[in-house]
Amino acid sequence: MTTPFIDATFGPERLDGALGDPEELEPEPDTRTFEQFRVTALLVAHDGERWLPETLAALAAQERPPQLVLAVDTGSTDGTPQLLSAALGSSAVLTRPRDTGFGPAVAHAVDSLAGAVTHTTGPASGVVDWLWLLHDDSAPDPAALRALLAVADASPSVAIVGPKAVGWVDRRRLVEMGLSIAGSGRRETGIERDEMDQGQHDGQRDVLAVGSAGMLVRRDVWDALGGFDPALAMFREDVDLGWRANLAGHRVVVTSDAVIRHRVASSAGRRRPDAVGGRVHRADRRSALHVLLANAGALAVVPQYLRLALGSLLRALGLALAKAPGEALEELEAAASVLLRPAAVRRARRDRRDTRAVPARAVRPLLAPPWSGARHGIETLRGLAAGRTLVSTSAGSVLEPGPVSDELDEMATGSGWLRALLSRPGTVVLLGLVALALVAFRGLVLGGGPLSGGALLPAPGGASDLWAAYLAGWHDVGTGSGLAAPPYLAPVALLATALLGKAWLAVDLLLLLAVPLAGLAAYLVLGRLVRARWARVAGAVGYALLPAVTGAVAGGRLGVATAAWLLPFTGWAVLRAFGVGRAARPSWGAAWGAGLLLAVLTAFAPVLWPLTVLAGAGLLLLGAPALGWARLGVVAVVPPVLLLPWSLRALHEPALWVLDVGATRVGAGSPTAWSVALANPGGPGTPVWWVTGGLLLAAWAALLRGDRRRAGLGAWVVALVGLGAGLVLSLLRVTPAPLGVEVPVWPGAATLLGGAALVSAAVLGAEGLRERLAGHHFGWRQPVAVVLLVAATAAPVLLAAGWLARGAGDGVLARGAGDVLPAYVVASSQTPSRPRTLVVAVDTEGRASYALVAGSGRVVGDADVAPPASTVAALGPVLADVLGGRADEPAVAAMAGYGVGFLEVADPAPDRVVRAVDGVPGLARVGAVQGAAVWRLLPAGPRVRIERPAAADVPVKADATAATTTVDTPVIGGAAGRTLVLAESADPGWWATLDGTSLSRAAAFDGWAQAFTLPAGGGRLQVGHRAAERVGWLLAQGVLFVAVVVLATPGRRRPTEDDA
Amino acid sequence: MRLTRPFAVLLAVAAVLGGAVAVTAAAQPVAPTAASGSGGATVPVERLTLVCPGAVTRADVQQSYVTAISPGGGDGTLRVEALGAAADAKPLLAAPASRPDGPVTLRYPVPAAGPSTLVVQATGALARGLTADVSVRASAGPARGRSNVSCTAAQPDAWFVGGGATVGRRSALYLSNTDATAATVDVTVFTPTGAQQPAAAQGVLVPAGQQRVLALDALVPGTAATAVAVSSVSGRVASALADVVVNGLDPGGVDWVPPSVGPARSLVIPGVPGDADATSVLQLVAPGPADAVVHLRLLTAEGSIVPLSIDTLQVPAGQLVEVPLDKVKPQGGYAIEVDADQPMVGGVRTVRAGEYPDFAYTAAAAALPGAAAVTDVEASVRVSTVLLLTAPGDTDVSATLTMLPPAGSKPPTVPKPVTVKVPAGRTTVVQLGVSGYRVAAVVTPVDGAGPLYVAWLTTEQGPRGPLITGGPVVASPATMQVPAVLPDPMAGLGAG
Repeated sequence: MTTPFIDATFGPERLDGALGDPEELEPEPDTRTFEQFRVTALLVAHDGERWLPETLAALAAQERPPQLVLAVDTGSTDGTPQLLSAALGSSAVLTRPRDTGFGPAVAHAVDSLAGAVTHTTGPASGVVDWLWLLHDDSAPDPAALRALLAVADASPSVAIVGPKAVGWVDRRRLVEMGLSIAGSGRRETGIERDEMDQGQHDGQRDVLAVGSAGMLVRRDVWDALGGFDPALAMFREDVDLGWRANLAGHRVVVTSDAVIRHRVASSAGRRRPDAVGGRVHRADRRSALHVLLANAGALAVVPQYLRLALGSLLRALGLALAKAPGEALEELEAAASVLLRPAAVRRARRDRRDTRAVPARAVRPLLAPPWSGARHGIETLRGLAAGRTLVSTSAGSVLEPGPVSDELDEMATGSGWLRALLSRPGTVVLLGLVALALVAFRGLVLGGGPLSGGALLPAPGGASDLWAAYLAGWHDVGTGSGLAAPPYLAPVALLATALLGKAWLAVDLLLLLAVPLAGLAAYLVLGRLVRARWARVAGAVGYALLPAVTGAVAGGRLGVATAAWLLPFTGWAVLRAFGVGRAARPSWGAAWGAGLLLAVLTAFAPVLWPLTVLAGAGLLLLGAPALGWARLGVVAVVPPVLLLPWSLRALHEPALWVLDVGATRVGAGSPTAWSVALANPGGPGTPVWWVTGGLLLAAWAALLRGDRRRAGLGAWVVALVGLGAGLVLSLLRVTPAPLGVEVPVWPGAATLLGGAALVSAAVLGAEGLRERLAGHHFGWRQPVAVVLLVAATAAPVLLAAGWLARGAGDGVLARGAGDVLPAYVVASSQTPSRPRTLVVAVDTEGRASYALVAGSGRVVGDADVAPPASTVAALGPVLADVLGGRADEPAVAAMAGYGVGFLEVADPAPDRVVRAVDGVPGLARVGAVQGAAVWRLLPAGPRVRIERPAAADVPVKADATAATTTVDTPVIGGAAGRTLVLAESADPGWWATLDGTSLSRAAAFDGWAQAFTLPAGGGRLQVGHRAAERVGWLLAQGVLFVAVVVLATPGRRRPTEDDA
Repeated sequence: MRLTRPFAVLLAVAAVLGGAVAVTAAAQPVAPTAASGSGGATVPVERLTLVCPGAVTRADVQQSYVTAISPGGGDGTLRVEALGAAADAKPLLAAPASRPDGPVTLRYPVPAAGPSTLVVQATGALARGLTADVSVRASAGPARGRSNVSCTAAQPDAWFVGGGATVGRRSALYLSNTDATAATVDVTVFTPTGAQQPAAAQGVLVPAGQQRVLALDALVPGTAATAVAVSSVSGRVASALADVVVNGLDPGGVDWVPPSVGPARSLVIPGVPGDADATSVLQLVAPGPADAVVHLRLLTAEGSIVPLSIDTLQVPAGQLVEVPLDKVKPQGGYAIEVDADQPMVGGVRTVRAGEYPDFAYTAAAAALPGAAAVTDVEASVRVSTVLLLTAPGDTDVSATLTMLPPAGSKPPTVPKPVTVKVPAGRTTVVQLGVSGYRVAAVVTPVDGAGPLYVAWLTTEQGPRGPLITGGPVVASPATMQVPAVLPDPMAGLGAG
């Protein structure tokens, strides 16, 4: 693969003669001997007996041999010293201690050279001394030295020449062709991972540095620069030397005419690098940081310092996540040892100042471009997507679930990608369902305002609002509530953030793409159960259009709609944790991963947690693999733990487990038992009950297949759990606290699970049916099979047709159907009295319902934290009087006690009611929006007030814009017996101080409002709500989440011996 | 489990699922629990405040009474006090705490000096069906005549068809606020040329506990006939419209315009006198944006009559249309049934000729909701009071009629309750009165028979011409509909 930017980086100025094909330029064998150059080869060896013979042979076979060969053995314990002595003679072998690094070893050899060999330096003498550095695992080609010298000969300004390094075993693998360094300190070779050498990098060009294996360096330059930096025990000394040479005004050139085979043994972990005590990573990072700081331009040092500090932290975090805690620690150690000891860096910079001849910017073109880091990140992601993770895939990973990566790989690779995409059934399913969804959403795709209706409240202004709702310890909903926010808000907020903060788009996509994504998910997961594509396609479409899915979309049930495409993956993850399924090995990591996925699924559809565990237990009863129950335990425990403190709240409010997330509406009916048994939960967006009959029939008949009976039975166990639970749920009547009345439970999530299992069973039964039937004589089987097939395939077709006919919204979902509060009401909620709006809806039969609304209206997530109906129950009779037109001032005062500043009768406001309310003294009509009518309360109810015995209340100014009621204002003294009343639900989190002294809590005012006893004196009054508890939970949740992710991530793969 | 028997497994699965369905189907409630139920409840009225506007011109008044009758009696309080009186002030008149069972009547003679606008307050059972009115008789002076005005509760809006603003005519709109908060109203005047909203009558502020009087001749000077709509912007007022006519220096009659029921496509205007010397004019307004086509029917003692030439009328939107009824004079009183394709309001003005004429109004009324009192029944040689009962429906309607003894005195004879039968589609006229006494009557429609509209009419043969007054019998309801109101965090957010 060509990478154009590498040429631009590494070779802006190609040397003449290096262009074009070298074969053409050099038709004759080169016989030049370059007598004016005296070359001393320095070979450093360390436990290298495996490679040394070849290296020595290659050295001996040089067409233009070096004048002198000197070897340094750094305390090898194997046969290295013997090999060296045998080849070079013992006088040419120096010995150093075992912990000597490459740089010091070379330095030692050069020092000894000064005594052993007489030479004169400088061009004046006519003879130029060169040092040729070699590793024990690098074997130069016979022509290598001559080619290097040819470059030196051609240009006197060249001080360092390097060869092209290729693989030791596989010469076609390119290892190195010049070096640079990235901003992170990463050693940049400009070569892709496993890149094949097809001559694409060939030529000769100026580079920042060349690798030390095969590096030819002019002796006088070496001496002037002081050789390798002694501060670098290992790694980057070559980069550093080249950088310094460049800064000193010399040229560093790499040429592909010289080739060296290099094993790169030390940094690849193939031998223990004793010079750094075996801690390769630390040494690597240490050197990287040191080199960057030592060579950076004067102005760049401080930014570079900060960048490296932050980068090191992030890298350590990433390594910890990748389950390499040792490396993470070494990363931090390295950073600390460099960054916390600026003296060493300062010394190194001072040394370099003496030799510097050109400004730092002159070298900048040779450095890796700043975006190379981003490019590496993208490549890593691409690698992940393609299934070759950099971390590991030994047992699969939840971050990269098996079924997805294969398919994405299938889809994304190869040429003619569009044609390839379209020829993939999975893609066709996805695109087809997207088209179907767009038609079904006709009229809802575009339009004013966010989607809402049914269980769905409108999306708030931006992702930050969603985050705030999730993170806040107090919600300004109704009379205010400190309930734990529903956990599904976090993933939705995350999605909204990814969509550049567009919360409405996140909600739109979750609903619009629910059916297509469910189809894709089912197609991918079914691929793990069966191979037959047509069965997978039919099954995927059938699953995507299950009544539970279309019903969830129409009813604005964000939870079940999202669960529809999370469920197949979660199911597959659970199966894999058990070791069920194609080519899966059970693993603890998979169990943690399944638990993690189930936690996300539970956040969206709580009832699926017990049902999944129950279904898992059912499967284990069919035949438990070893450790199956323990793994099920992990899967079962992770969701409630990760969803703390919401799961704690659900313990007290069991209704939360069976109700859908979002709003629960009054007035829904229950589906019939038959419809539930056919995986149809009833309600808007669902077809007539018999449409899914064919699916049940086909799934049932699948049990007839002997070869698939075990899988079929497994699917049926899950189906019976799901459908059975659906039947039980359809009988349930629960009382959600915010409503205070009994409502039936929508069994959508349960029928989704049951339907998924039915689809699986039917697909299992259908696969390979033709071959099996062909094996039988014609009899009852063939006609029955045909009938069943028609019935089973009719279901998806009928479901799709029904969906299109009804439309995705089915009269429930609409755009812009949220709160429409006039601008002055919204603006007024940002004043110190923070008035609420009492929204009343009157239906055609004269029934009325009411809600307290703060700010600009209700948004996603508000319904999940709404306080109990009991807090506002006292408003009912008051409102009955108001709507009946016979209320007077006390009624208005009662409303004001709830912090109400405005009364809105929502669209359509019946004229009779409007006239009646008009006549209520203390209510002044202030205008209407879109068929609604709005009145202002005179006087409006303040959020905070002082109740005085036998005297009028005193409103207290609250912070106008704070999300939670806060007060910081002076109050004057008054009679004893005053009470400070917040129009907020009583909650232990509220605190109030007067001149710093805590006020004692009074009994809940009117049975619901937070009150404090106010002493007679005045002073500075401060009121607020403590968020410490919520923060603690969130931190714990974050830590637990990271822990589970780490546990779910498979361990780091150890490099194997022969991948070079 | 042995997996070798496919059919056994098949049947087992089917049995499990089928069994579960059967059990569920049996356990499911037959009827849906939610979504049904009434839209509210009917509760007895517990409190009622009625405003009795003052006399039109005080100096000329010889007799002025406020009469309040609670026909059912029972526990509770009933008192008369001045508008704007402090909450703890002593009432002008109050029902005794201990009293015999049966109807409670308060009769307060309004003194010549003192507050003219009074408030009748009732609580408990005495608030149910409470009726109060002011009756005024002046035998001389510019305001010579008999007049009568029902005390009304404050309403968000009120309609009056009557009044005028020509020279010598003084119509005045009385706006009274009994609440502790100021009220603001808009007034629209409908004239023969169209609806007018004089700037001076928009956003009229009525301070708490006070009364504002708007003279129509200042709002729409020169208009011969008017209809007035009072619409509250905030708060509520009790409104009343008085009409006084002076011909030069001679009195031309006086009365209050009873409120018409709110715009409706079908109206019944009861109590139109049928006397030979009476001149009645039907006044109709279609206050909506569209012209109305109106069909009239007269419900007389003889049966229903479709009056030729005026049986079908065009009423342009917003214009007051006057229909003289002098071509049709059925014997006795009658009622007018109005059927229109647009919502209408309407009333009838009747002038009795004499040396000094007097006039009376009636207006489109609501069917009697239950027992209703006729507060001022006077009968003597010169004074007669009649009750006109109209049953516009397809069935005969019966009502009982009880005469009440005057407060504080025992009448020599108290008639027993009598039952009056009103044939379908007809008006029955009943002569009321115990000679020499001012008494009251309670008319109670028999349950479930059909709508019954009742009006009354008092005629005094004065020496210089008759003095008349009358109007529809109205009753405060004993019960009221309370909407079912439930908390719902999703209230007002689109479809459920």
